[in-house]
Amino acid sequence: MKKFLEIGLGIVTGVGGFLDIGSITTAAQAGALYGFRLAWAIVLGALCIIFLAEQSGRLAAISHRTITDAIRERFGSNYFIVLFGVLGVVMLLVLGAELGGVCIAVEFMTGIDYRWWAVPVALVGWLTIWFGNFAVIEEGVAALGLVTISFAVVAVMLHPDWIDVAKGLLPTTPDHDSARYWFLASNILGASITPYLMFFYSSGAIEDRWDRSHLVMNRIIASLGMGLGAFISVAVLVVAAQVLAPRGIAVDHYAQLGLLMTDALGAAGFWILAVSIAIPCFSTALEVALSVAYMAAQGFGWNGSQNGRPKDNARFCTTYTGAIVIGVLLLLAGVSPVRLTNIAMALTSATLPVAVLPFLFIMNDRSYMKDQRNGWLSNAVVLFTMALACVLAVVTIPLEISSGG
Amino acid sequence: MAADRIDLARDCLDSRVLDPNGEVLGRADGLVLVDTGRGPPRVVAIEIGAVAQARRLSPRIGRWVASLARRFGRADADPWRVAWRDVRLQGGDCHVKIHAEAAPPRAWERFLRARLIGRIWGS
Repeated sequence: MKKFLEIGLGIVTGVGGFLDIGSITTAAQAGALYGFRLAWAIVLGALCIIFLAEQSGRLAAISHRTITDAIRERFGSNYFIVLFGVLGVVMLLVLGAELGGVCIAVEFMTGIDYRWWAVPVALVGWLTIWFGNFAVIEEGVAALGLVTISFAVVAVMLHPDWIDVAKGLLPTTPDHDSARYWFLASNILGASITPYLMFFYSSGAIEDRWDRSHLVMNRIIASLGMGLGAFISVAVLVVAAQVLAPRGIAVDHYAQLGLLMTDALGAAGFWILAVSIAIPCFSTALEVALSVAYMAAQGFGWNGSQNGRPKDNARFCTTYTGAIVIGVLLLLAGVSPVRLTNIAMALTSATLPVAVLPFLFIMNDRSYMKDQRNGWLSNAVVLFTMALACVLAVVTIPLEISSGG
Repeated sequence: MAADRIDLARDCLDSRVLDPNGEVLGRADGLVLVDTGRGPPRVVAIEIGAVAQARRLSPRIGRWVASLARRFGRADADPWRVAWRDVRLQGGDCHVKIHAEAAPPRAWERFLRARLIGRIWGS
């Protein structure tokens, strides 16, 4: 019974991990601009993160090491410093975007400009980490994210042409604005294949003391959790294609998202949408802040656990506090949350090889993985998707910047 | 004997350094070898700390981090060394007999606890 409960909570956490401001925004932009045509990118990204999350859990269960531990040990201090520098910048941008997502949702509810909410939202987030243990953050906050199932309900209520939706699951070339199409594809992949998620997942497995007996559970959680998250992301795309595309709305501002659920649910839809954005963004913001702290602690050899008291993990706590402060400063500096989200997701795609390639080496290293090394399919799926996301990002980011998109 | 061989870069450098209670004390950020003139160089110590780590990036960055450490006085400007005879390699980690809490690599931890984190309600 306990195992079933653990799996259920894990799946809920997986959904929460997949859904964030990046996946919601990019799916909505894709649906608004290209109908169902970019659904394939969500499915491909989900497939890749399912493999990566499963591998992250397997590494922790077999070697009792997190990804950061293993990368530091196998690739050395200098590589770790580069990795921490690159991923640190990307994670701080993602953190700013997630906090921005919560603030925008609160703006929907109150009508008060999102910037006014940056400090209160960050303070609530910091207090949740400060007073909560790992389970509270991983399972408690993420469980509230199940409200996002409302996107799937609304998608069904809008009666889309399911044949067209199914066609969108196969990659096609766009009939207009192809640079934007491929930029969005790379954004969607970046929003799905988020390295912070791998680092958080493996840190969580160590905090929860996973061992070999958790391998089956790990597979179920990674597949169903991320799979359900991707399903809801496709639902966001379907809703945006049904509601925003006919009106010619391209989601340049978050205020335009407000219409997503009102066609199907009326005024209540507006409130459900606000909650459906606020909770996953809040939960992801906490996970990203903790991921930065976990990475620093594990890589530099500090004591750092979310299950200990703050004063026993002073450097760890100072790091997540600093990360949250930087995230808030990005918002207060006036960076548009939509722009911040797009930049963060594109940079995530562009920098994927820095984190994923060494990780793949470790997953094939017998001294760490013993009899549980990666099979050819795991390696192939991850390598292909990572390469596609990276190439798309590197090619389309300059085009997007030059077009001022 | 082949069984006694240690690949220092693979089995020791960058490994976690654990105290007798299994607490993380730091990472093996550097190795100290001496050339005795007779036979191959001998390992005499492991180094722990930001300065050792920075020196591996470049000597200039190492000097820069050392001068920062000197200025703020929270850690020694020289990396902390643990004699090789006091290091036991096991399970991919370096085990030492020194307790983490009082060890020099925790200087910043103690400073932040005393001056910042420990003063906040609920810590």
